[in-house]
Amino acid sequence: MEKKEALPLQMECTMFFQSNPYMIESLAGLENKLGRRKEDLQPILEILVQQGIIRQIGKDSKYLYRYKEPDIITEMTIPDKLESP
Amino acid sequence: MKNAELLEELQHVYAERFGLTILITDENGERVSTITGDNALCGHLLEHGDLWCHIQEAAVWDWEITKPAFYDILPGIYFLIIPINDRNGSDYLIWAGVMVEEGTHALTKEQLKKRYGPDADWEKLLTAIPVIQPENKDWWIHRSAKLSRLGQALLQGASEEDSLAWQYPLLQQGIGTGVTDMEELFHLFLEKRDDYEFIGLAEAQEEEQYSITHVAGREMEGLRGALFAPGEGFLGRIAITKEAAYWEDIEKNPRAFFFHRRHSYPKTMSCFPIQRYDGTTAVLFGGSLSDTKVSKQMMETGQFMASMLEAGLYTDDLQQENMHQVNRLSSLIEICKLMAATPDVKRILYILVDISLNLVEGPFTTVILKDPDNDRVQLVSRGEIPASMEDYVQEVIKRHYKSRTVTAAQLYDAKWRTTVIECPLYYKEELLGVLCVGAGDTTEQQLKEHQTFLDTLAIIGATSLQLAKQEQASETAAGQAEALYRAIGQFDAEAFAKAETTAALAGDFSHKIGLPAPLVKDIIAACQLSCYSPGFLKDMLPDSKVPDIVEEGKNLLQSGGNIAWDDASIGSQVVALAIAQETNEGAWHADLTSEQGIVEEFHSFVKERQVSEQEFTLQEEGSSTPELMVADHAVKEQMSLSPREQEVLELVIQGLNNKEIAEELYISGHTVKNHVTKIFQKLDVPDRAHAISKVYQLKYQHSNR
Repeated sequence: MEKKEALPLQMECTMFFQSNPYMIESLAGLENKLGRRKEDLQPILEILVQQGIIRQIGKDSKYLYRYKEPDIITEMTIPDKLESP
Repeated sequence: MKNAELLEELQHVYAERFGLTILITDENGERVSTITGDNALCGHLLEHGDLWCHIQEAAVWDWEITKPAFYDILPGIYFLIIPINDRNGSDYLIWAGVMVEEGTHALTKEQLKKRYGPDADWEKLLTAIPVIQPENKDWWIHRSAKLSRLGQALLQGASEEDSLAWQYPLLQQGIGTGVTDMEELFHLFLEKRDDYEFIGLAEAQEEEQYSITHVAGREMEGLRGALFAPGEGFLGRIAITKEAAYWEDIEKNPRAFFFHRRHSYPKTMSCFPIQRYDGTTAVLFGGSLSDTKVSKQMMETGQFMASMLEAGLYTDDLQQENMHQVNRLSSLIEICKLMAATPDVKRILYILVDISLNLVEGPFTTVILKDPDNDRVQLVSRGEIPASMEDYVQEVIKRHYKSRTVTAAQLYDAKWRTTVIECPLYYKEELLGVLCVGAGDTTEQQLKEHQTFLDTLAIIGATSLQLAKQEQASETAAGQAEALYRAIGQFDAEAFAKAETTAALAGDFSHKIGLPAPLVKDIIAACQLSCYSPGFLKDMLPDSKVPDIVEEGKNLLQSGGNIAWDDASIGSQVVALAIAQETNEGAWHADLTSEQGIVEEFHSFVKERQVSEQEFTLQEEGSSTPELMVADHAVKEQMSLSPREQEVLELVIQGLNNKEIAEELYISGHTVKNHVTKIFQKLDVPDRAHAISKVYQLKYQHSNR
């Protein structure tokens, strides 16, 4: 149930980081920019770090967060053997 | 007492038939009925003697009889005591009397005289009452047993009504039960039911654990928040068996230790499973702290409560689910907006990957893009990409690109033991890629929800991808056109200057008559590049409409060209007029058969422009891009065009010539011409430019209403 409730905010955060891929921001900064409470944002950021969507930089509870681009693989070539049944 | 009237009637019938006086008392010795019957001695003793005191005294004794019995309330004077047990456990006694035993007549008379004095006619009173004989004793008992059963039936009927009466306020409260007022409901339940002294609810938490979430009753506070595993103790057992059960006299039952530890000492425990919307089972429990037995009625009551809670909680869960759906939908809308506003292919792919991961939280998510011209494949992904990914990608390509039969989100079981939701990204017939989302540990219900969401995401994603690609292509084309135009300046300054003024004139005029922005851009580009041959332009700008406009415009300018003025697109017409104006200084208009419509308008525009050049410059800066579509329903109605004519008009506005419209709508050029002529008639305009201008006017008028 809890997860379902958090989903809209999680998506909002994802979109925010994605729209600003070079932004490096602290929890307080995000609180300010998104107009959301720290308590609501903290668990969401943890989930996003876990999902690998954002990166957590720094230590001792003074973390900064930034967007992490997805992996792009361009080397894969699918051979012609597929054509044969 | 309920059914009192019927009981009284019953009393009457029996009293009359047997010559007895009948009354009913409760456990406290109180009379709960009227006194019926006219047994003379009984009537006399009640009125003048202390018979009532004797009855009251005896009524409170613990009789423990199940059958009627004779009781000598005074020496020699008998009452039939008829017990009635109602289901709730309350006992009543029917007193039917008085009678005298055979052969004791004289002795009894003496006793009465002694006790109450000689004034009454005891002889007469005694002879008027029924006599108990050894041979009719059983008969009396048998008859009065029937009275007992009838009385019991009446009282039970009443108690069933009572049981409905306690259910009603609970139902009222239970219907709107949210999690918050659950305890209020429990308190109300305990208030209405004496047999239950406590009640509580345990709900499934994460990681196979249960927690007691709501309690009411004495000694129960310590239980709130207590955790237990499925299978553990009384409550855990129900979580597994999912069947109602009860335990009696549990004070010394080791399973009760769970309660003792929390300072609660129940004597009975009744548990009922409650199925929740999310597939889990909650446990309703209750019982007594004083009574060691669980009655059938207690179980029925508990079952009723459990059923009611199940319905109430289900409604609650559904409401929440509904709210989540609305939330998801609004998130989806936000994502749509963002994707629609994102012109960048790469970012749209990122959105697809990130949002899918947000939603499903599976092990991985990837978009597979295959170059249509070769075997190269590109992956944009997050999460753990398994070693066997290449094999999986081959499978996906085979499933989606080779067969092209999958058009919506489907589930596949990948080799590395996860279900993958695969969503093809189709734009019309073109497969742009496949979004593959690993589902991980999800319930069937969740999987279904994810599938729907991802399906929608894929549809919007595909459309946005296509738009972004088109935009990128048109930007490239615009860049190329710009380069060609500037190249003119390097070799032929005069031609460049001319092209510049022609383009400015055509641009201003197009704005004035309200052509849509993309078409205006093409018209300007066509004027800028008009000195190149259309063939060369087609080679350089293969995907652009500009070369066609140049070609058609030039054709219109040639006397005896292969296209009639009325068949040409509005873009070509404007280009032709602008080029003619700049090159021939207006001499060309003589070649036209008619001097009406757009030509006339163009000439008056040129005249005005010469006078107020400055004003137009200002206007151009401030003018916004006109959006000219006939989409407005009201406008459509006002023009009374047929749906087909509306389609044709849309294409005319977009700047297509008759031939192009014919190709677009799969109809003949002749038909298009007919449609166009009819549209002109209906709108009462001479040509394309005026038709567009008219639509613009109508739309403007309508929007200002």
